[in-house]
Amino acid sequence: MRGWRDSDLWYFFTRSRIAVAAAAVAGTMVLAAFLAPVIAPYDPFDLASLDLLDAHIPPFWLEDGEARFPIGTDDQGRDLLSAILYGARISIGVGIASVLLSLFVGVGLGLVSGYAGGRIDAFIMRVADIQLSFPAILIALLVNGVLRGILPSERQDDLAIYVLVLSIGISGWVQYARTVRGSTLVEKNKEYVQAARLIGISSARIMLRHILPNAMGPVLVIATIHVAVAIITEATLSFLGIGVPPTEPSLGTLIRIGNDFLFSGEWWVTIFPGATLAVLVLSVNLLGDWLRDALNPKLR
Amino acid sequence: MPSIPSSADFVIAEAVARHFDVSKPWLARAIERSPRVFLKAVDGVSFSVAKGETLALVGESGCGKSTVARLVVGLYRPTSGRVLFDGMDMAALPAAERARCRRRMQMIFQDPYASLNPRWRVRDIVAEPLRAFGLAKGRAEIGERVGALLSQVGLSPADGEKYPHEFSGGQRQRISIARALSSNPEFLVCDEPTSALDVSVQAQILNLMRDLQEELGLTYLFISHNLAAVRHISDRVGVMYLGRIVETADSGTLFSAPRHPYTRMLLDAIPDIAMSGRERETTGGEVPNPLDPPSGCHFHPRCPFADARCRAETPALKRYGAAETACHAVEEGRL
Amino acid sequence: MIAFILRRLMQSVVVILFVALIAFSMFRFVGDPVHQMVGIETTLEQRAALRERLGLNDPFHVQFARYIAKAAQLDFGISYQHKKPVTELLGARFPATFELAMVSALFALAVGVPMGVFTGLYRESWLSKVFMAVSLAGISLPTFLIGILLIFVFSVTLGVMPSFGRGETVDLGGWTTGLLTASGLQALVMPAITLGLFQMTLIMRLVRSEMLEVLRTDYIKFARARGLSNRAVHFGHALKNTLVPVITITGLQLGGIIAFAIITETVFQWPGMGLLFLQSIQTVDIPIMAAYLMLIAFLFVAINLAVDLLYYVVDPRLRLDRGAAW
Repeated sequence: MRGWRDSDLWYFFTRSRIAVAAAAVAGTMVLAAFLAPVIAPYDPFDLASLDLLDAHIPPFWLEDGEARFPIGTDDQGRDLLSAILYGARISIGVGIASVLLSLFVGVGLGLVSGYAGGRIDAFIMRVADIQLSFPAILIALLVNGVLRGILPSERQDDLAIYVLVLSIGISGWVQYARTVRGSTLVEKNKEYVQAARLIGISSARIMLRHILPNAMGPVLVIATIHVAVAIITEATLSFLGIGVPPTEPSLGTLIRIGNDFLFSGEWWVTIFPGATLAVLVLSVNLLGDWLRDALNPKLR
Repeated sequence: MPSIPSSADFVIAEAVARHFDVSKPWLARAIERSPRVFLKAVDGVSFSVAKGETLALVGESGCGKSTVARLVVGLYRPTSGRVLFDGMDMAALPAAERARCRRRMQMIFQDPYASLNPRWRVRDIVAEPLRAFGLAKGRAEIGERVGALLSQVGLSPADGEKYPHEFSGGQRQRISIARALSSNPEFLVCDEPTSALDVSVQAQILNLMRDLQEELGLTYLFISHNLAAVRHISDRVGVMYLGRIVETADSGTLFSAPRHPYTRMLLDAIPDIAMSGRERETTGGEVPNPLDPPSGCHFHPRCPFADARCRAETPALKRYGAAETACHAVEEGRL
Repeated sequence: MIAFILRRLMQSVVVILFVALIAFSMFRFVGDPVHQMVGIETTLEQRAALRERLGLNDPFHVQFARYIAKAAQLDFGISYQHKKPVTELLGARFPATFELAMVSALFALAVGVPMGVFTGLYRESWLSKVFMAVSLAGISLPTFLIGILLIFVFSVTLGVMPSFGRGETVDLGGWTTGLLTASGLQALVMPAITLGLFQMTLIMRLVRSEMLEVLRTDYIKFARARGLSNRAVHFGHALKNTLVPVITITGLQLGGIIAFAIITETVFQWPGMGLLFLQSIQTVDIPIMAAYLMLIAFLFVAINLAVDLLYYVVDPRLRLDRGAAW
């Protein structure tokens, strides 16, 4: 007990200070991203307002920099600050939507798998095992490729965001399913579930009203950390050129665009979106780590 | 003669059995040439409970008494045999009638910490059967019923707003009882309702159950390994050993004049010097592996009176005065 | 024992068949294979004839069986885009990816293990804290961003490293290697670091936590009590016991390295399989996608199987209680 006071309380205290800082950073970024239409100086999606004469302007503190574009412009003459704000909005939006999809699919399958047992369980878990033996990014790439093959090419740009959400969402359900299945296996043998079965409550209702509330704790921790992973995956897919189209760039798309100009010395087009992405992901990760430790006293 | 339960009895178990398949995966079986393995948790159990009566089933842990409780209320389907409730076989009823049947029977569970959903408020826990069976409609009516039920089991209606973790074990068991009573059942199966409680609280709960029985005319099937509790509450007692009933008698007879060697052993284990004055018989040994029970009379490896017949032949329940006993030694007058 | 091996083998076969089913379904139902293979001027009759010749009118299971049979002979069809056999395309690019993956894994081990040992032994040292901070960045930063940063610093700003390609390669009877020339080796440095960084941080954290775990155990205290030097205790006893999980994880991560090579190869324009796969996704070149999927599946299954069997041989505790779920 004393050892715990000596080391871990202090540890926890510093950790939570980091968590508070991370929460503040992440919160500010999310808020700024979602208020982009209000606070951004320009609308980077409005192609009519772009002027190619404004292209390749460096940040204001460099030579040739202009005050109206504080961190410069890209090759289209887009104000980089506005593009980053709007881009972060897309990145965060796609990240959260994918996590919700994963969560929905994974929790549902996990509940059914754990509660039904038998062949249904064996089948779902086998599929999960197979998917789990591939990295999520590969699954997302494949789903993305297949969806592109199915969709008519002229609609692909409009639907790109949905394709992204679907491919990232499908690539992440397994963790939720396994966790929820584990909790369900424990909960379904508890006597309160038997009491509900006794009075003829339907299986669906037992799963949703009785078991699900008792299985959600670890799911929330996974979801927080998963948001960071989903944002990275979105950025990666967009960077690889199979994410959102350049007309409505996310952070990954901006980095991809900037990468082409890295060698001509226009580093800002890549570095600023990259730094934004890194800070965003790092703060969400720290927050998730802290949440995991805080909710699990066994992990110190 | 094993008693053929009279049709006047309220709840009747007819040679009920429940086997669990605990075999290894089929591939391992195929390679090791091992057979399927079944756990005969309940192996042909018959008994009957009259209306308003309390029948207790006692036995060491692992003897199958909790499985019997779950077979009776229909949480498990019997592998063979059947359970009749007021003349109806639950397993064979159409869905609508089964629901009507379910309302009339309820169960109180052993673990007061696992039997209440920790995420639900007490009022919702108690109201669940009301809603499920449509016994009360609307917030006001349900709230009133829940308040009355909580008062009935000695809690305050205001406790309905709390969560289960705010209560002690005994109070939780009261909530369990309130939930069980909410559908106005006639028959309650109590699966070791007091074994997780402190001794002082046990008596309170048992008294509450007895008062409720008198007040509401309830019929109880009381599962326990606690002979003191059984003696306190039951009219008749059945003793189970490894999935079979070895002796049934009315409570007074069983405790004053046990016949089966196993019953005697159980009674001797109670540290109550004034109880019988009989010389204690030491019966050692552990409960055998239920996957591979002994031949003949399951009890023979631990029985001081066992002979060759006991090892070969399964004894049947036979009536001796007020008791029914399944023992060759008793039948032959060796005991 | 035999049951365990048989079960694992069967599981592996099931996985491969399942993945093959997905690959085949992609090939068969995503887009029209005939449409992809012919020009606009082909008549309807010619298309129907080609359809018949390719067996696309046969029942599903016959087509699937044929696909499996061909795949077993490494025949994955013709690329829509390159109009060449897929196997030939992948084969030509395999050495580049393989060399990159192996060097990355070596880098991850060679740097990750010492860093892990150090941070495990000297928890409070400032260098340990730096290592831990770096590892957090390694886990949080996307691979492609690390690659871009390396290019920006070492190629653009300092101009000391090549930013793309494999450099000069030597052809060793069909296997092109960049390991024998100075420019080839130089070109390998940054991609290998980019690709291996994530694994490195993983290994470092694993070794660290294993070291902390082992150093708490009684036999380490006993070794100290016997008067063994710190060095002997740390390396002879503690490190040795952390190596089994480290090797396992590294083995299991090998598949991950090959998958993440897609990203690294894109950043550095490394002419490997990943780059080919990515291009095939952009152009919906299904035969290449399907073949790559099968290849990765095979690698994963083989690695997992090998690790499981090795574990089974190495750790007698596992022989009793594993695999009750199937």
